[in-house]
Amino acid sequence: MHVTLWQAVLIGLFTYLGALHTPWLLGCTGGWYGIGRPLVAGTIVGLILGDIKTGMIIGATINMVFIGAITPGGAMSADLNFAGFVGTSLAMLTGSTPEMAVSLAVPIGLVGAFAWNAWSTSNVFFAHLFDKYAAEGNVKNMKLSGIVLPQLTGFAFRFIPSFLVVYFGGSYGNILANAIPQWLANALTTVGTMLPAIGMALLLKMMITKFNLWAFFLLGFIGVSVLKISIVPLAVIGLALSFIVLYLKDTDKTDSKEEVA
Amino acid sequence: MEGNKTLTKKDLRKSWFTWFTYHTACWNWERMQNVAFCLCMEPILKKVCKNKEDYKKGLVRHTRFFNSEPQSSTIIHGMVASLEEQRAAGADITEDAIDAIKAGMMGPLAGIGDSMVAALLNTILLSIGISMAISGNLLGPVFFLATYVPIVTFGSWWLYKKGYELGASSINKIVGEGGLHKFTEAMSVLGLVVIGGLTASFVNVKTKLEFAGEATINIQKLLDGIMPGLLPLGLTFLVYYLINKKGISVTATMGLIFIFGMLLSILGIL
Repeated sequence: MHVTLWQAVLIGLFTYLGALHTPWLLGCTGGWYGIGRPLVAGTIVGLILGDIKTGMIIGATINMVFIGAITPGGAMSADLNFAGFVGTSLAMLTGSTPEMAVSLAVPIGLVGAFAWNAWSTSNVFFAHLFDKYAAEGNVKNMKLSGIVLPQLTGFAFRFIPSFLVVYFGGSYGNILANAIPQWLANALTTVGTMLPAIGMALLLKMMITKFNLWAFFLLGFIGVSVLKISIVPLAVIGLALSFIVLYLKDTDKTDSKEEVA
Repeated sequence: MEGNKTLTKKDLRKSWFTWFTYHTACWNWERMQNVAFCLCMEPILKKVCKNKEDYKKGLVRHTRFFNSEPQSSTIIHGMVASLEEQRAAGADITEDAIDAIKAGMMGPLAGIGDSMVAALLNTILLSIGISMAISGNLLGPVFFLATYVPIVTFGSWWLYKKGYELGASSINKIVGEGGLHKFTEAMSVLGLVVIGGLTASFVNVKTKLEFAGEATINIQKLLDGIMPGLLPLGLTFLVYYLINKKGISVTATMGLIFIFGMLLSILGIL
């Protein structure tokens, strides 16, 4: 598959729109947490490159790795917006399988995280400029230094690397992809099947506050691996269980009150 | 300077929307979301402050460090708006009290917001979208956007309004009585069931090992006979252990998986 200049420009533009710092699509709700999720990003890339279904499936597969990736305190280890837009583009342009795309997307995500860190450092300068205008009560210049200028640099930090990687990587990536031997392709696929464990472990790290809670994780796991329940009915079962937990806690309270009385 | 007026719904909505859109517009390593916090208090201060001096001082006060989960922490912004209004009207609320409320709430609310909104809600809706998309259903991404974005947008505005209505009393109302704690725990039950299911469907490691004897023994079939998904489950536990107990960074863990995954694949084990 070949990429035209305009396709690469469009992909670069969407990479900026789906970044964590971009305000234009209802803040991070529509941007970073919305179109920036590889599921949606992949679909958009598919639309731009003319094969929406392939883009969506590659994006969804990449998304599994990053499903637990949130950015607590802005500490970003891999930039899933970059992984989603640029990763899907490269995978489509080189004709990779979705599993290989995952292996491609991880290092690309690291490039994105580097760009984010560089931008956040450069913003310290704008924050100081902002202090000065806040002390003067100059709202117009506060907006200039606190929104317009950091967004201009933010655009540069997103658009330029994604455009370059998609445009040149897409053109030369084909040659590279054909040079990849079968054993390496297999190895990358294997890595792709393992990486989602990181996303899951990160979610678990946040949610397991008590040892007993592992029980619910195991129930969900068995529900899919052995009982083959699909995800929506499983979520309904989970909801039912959480109501049962609430109910038991309430009856616990009333029981103990009765005892006291 | 309009000076000493009561806030209208329009002012509050302007303040909330400024935060909701620009929260990370100037995110920086020094004071993180401070610029956006100051910008969202600007319309409030402009309306309530008696004179230009108070207004400028107020702006400077709100350039101090702030960082929380941007979508759901708006209850803080609503409360601070209410406090600034009461303070300008002469109530005995010191700047330190406002700072303390911001500093005291941003941490806990970041924790709750990260796990409830960013991890739980986003993940559950996303995983439904992903499982639709993997089977080629174009409604997958549409479903995700059409549920997540409106829920969070209206939720964020609702929390801002709640914060404003409750004022300073809201911390005790929320954190006290164990109500939120109970709710959070019930929601993590739902989250964990879904994560368990996701682990089973997304982590797909299989072994290629076979022992050729009189009859070929396929190790994967053997493992599936004990319980399907043993390897994915083991791998997830291992990664959890490395990240959580051993404190190995996510990037380093990714590197380890790359190295070992490739090695095991080349050796014909995976």
